[in-house]
Amino acid sequence: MNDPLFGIDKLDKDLNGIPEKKIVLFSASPSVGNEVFGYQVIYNNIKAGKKVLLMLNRTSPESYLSEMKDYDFLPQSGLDIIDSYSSITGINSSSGKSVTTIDNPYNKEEVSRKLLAELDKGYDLLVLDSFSLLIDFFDFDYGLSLLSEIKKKQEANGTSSVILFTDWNYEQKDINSLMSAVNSTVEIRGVEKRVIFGQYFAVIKCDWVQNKTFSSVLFKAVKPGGIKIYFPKILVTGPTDAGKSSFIHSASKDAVSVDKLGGTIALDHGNLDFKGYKADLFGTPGQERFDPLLKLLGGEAIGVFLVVDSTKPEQFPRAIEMLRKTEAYGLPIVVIANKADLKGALKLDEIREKLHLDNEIGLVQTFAEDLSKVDPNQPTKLKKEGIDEALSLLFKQLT
Amino acid sequence: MATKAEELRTVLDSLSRVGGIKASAVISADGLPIVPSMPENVDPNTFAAMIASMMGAAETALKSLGSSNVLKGVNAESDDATVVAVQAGADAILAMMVDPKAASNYGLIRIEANRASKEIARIMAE
Repeated sequence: MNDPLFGIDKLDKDLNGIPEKKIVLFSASPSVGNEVFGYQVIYNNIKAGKKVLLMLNRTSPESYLSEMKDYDFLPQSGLDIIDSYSSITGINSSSGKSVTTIDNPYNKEEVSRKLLAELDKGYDLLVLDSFSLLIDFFDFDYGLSLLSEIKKKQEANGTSSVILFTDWNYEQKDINSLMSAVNSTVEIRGVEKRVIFGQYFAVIKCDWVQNKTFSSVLFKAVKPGGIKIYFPKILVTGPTDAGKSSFIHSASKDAVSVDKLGGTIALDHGNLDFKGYKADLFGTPGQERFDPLLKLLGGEAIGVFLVVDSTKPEQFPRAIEMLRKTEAYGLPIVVIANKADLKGALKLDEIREKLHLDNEIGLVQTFAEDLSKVDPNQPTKLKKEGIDEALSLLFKQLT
Repeated sequence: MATKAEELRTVLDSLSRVGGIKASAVISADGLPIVPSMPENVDPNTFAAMIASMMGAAETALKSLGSSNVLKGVNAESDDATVVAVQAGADAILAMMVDPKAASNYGLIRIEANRASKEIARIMAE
């Protein structure tokens, strides 16, 4: 049987799941939540047939499960819970799930005893939410000694663990000893630069993957759907009538265009959801008279789609000029050769040559879904294959 | 008979007699100058494009709030320049550069703009 997973594409790709007997720490700063990582890990492992134990002291099992439901991560069966919360509030748990209750969550001995005894029942995965609360109830030394007890049980039973932790400005030496007690640490942080970009996560340590550097990625926790890698601004630019609006409308749901008489006059905006990625696309107008907008629209973009009309090589210099004017030169880029199904469309290698593109730069052809339905005053629906290929190529560069 | 452009210019001329309106232009909804009557140091193409962008973006913003009515106009203000743009039918926009110090005359400017925009809409629809 396979090892437990993260259920988060990027982490599973980078770390190949969570091998048995390993402990993963999700360490979040107080401004961002880490609980969705827990929901997603639990849901996906139960779905994969794993036996999962949840040690819960952050909230009641009922509200935990209802939060999971909001993200569409309600496990069908098989989640055992140790409830170290309800006794504090005095409201008894009645979720009907398999629950072990800790009668006195302020009693170290009972907490440890019941958790460790439960682990002997042979779980594939333990999720502890939250470790910081355990420390706040008791102290760091207790937390660390519990971790080492858990480790012993893991050795005997082959369990892996996911520990959720919020870093409420603990002392650095305590954080350091926590980090050295676990096998892998994933940091979850907020980004506040000139604009608030949101949240990112990054693997900062992993002892079972060697010789690999890990990149950090922005994400959004979406209800339902969970953790999605998020790109807040991807620019779509290119000469007039090349198909920028068509691309945005075909790639995203609920795209809006500010357009008149068939041309974009301010911008297009679309929000897309593709294979666990979310991105906001911003499209520029193509006509020269709107050039003062280009720099504005290009600001803070982290990737670019350059759309060109395959039948109009005379517009290619303008395409390059627009990259410069949007200040997008040098960003990760995928070039879209649209209208590849029209008569007179240049071949990919001709386009590559005329646009002076290096071989490493992604170049993708797109086609109208139905040429007979093309209306010059409306964005054209483009075939999914080309769109998906373009998105995959750019997202691969961005992660 | 006067051409459309001449008729439109007559409308703009009448606006120039309203105190506080420094210059005005008729612009197509997609951002091309139709009849510009702007100071020489202003690029009519860029000005027209930006006014149309502003109107288009405002219209989209209002639609996203659920408004189903047609956008009437947008005012853009700074300490030393003010632009009042009003929709003049579906195809045209009337843009006026207004002296920010002429705030006391704003009522008259609004009435005249309203009248002129209807006139422009009529001429454009001919």
